[in-house]
Amino acid sequence: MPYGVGLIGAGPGVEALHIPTLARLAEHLRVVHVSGSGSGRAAALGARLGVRASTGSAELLADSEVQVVAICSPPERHAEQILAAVAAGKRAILCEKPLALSREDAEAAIDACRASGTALIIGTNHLFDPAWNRTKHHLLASGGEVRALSVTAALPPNGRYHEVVAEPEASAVPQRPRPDWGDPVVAAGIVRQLVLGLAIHDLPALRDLAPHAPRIVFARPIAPIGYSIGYQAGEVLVQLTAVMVPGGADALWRMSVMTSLDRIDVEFPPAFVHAGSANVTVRTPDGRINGYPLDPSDGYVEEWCALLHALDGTDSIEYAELLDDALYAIELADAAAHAIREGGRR
Amino acid sequence: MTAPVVLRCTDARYRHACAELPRRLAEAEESRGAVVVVPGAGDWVSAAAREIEAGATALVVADPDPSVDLDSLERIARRVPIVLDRPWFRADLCAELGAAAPEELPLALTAECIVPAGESAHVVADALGWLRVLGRGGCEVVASRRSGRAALAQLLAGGGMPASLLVTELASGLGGPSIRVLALGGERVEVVTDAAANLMRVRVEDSTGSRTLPRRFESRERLSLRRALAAVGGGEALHDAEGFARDIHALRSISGTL
Repeated sequence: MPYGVGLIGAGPGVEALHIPTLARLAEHLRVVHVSGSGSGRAAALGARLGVRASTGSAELLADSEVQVVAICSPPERHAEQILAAVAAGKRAILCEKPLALSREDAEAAIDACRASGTALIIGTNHLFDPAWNRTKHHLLASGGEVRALSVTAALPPNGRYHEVVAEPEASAVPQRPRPDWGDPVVAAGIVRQLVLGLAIHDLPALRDLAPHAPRIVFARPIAPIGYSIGYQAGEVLVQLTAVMVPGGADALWRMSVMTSLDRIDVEFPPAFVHAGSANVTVRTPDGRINGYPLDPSDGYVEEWCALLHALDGTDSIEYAELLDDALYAIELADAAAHAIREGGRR
Repeated sequence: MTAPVVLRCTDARYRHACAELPRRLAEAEESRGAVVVVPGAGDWVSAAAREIEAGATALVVADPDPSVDLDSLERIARRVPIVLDRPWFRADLCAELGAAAPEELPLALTAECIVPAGESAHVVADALGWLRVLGRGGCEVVASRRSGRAALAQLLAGGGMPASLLVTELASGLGGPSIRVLALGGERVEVVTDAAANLMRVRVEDSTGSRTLPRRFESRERLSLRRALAAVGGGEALHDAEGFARDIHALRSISGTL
């Protein structure tokens, strides 16, 4: 009997990501309830799926058929909704990244899940990509010392990929006004959001390799939306670059691990699509490029599988790791925002 | 057929290249009236100045060392055409990229260098050259940091374009420097050079797909000699010294961290 899933949030990401992903796991998981903010999207999705729909999260959390909660609301709601789901006695939660926007909220959410034994997965899909385990295995086997890390993302509008996995309404993706990058307070706030909403895809994986507290070397916004951040974690230097491009080339999302012996490139497929795992290649000092085969699964499917493993007791949730991942991201976001504000003042 | 220009050099690589230009070049013993190849090690600017005094009509500097006096370079570059033959930076690819560049500037640039231990300067100088070409202006260093065996710098490329540079040293005894430079925008350009793989590849991607600029089968030494010949003949204005100087200024701003 599949677990009943309640989706809190009915935005384009839910329509293009979680609903199609859950359809791939229909033997184990089925959507039974969708709740939204009252825009009408939850009702439309519910009608299309033939499931209950509601406004706000209370009705969904009171629904006895909902055993698993997927929190896909705006980031500022995540922590409080985790607490509410735990209080409602739900068995498992998949929360979209980030876990929380502040240290206090992250600690409270993790404490509640740990105390109640509620399974919690944060949807940092790159961490769950089969390619990441392959990369870590290579690092362990080669013995190379990690010296630097780089993540480069150049992302066209999401709509390009929504359209290949869903049938979104034309108005589904709201156009945001361009920020005033000249105002350092505005710029700092947006870069903080971008770290916690975009860079966070990779931060738990980066923390695996560079676990020390991040110390900012530089941070600046990139117009129209993006960031260039450099930081040091222990002895490892990290370069993060992301930019939303208005169109043109397909998405590039590449994580590179530079060691004393080689360079490992992990190229992730575009967001939303199910095109298999990331592509892992290793460049050796003698110029060879060794490639690993693609795995047919992807991080989106695997993060739900991780939740299923926790539910059936074949795997456990590492609450301390989840909290440390969240705190690493918050610390980096705060430090980047601080650097931008201070740079503006100078 | 016009008489060939003469070449004076002791470097076998350029003698081989000379043999591949038999109608235009012939080897000579004297510098006077010749295109002269100057080894780029040590104080090569002084050596180049001596060749100009001896009557060289053009110079090709092989693998120019970045620790050169740039004021002196600027002075000699005003006297005769000078080609700087840099190991991981090809003028023909730069020209093709420049000719096909879209109107819109990139939104950001990144560069990653992998270098043999203690040999970063040449590699980083050439990475800065590619950043200059893709960013359509020389780089200014805003911040930099060294940690362990890596270095990181925040840069501003031409017109204030955000850029960053990451340099990682390989373990002692391992060779094979590599440069990867990306220009991010609607059109994405990636330059990859890999000495160990004998690779220099430029790939351009846009909404229609990707294309790789044709591989250059002409040796860089022959290319440099051809450019010198073209300059002697008045057909090509050379800006190698100017570009090199801009790259080296940026390099020196981060050299404490390399």
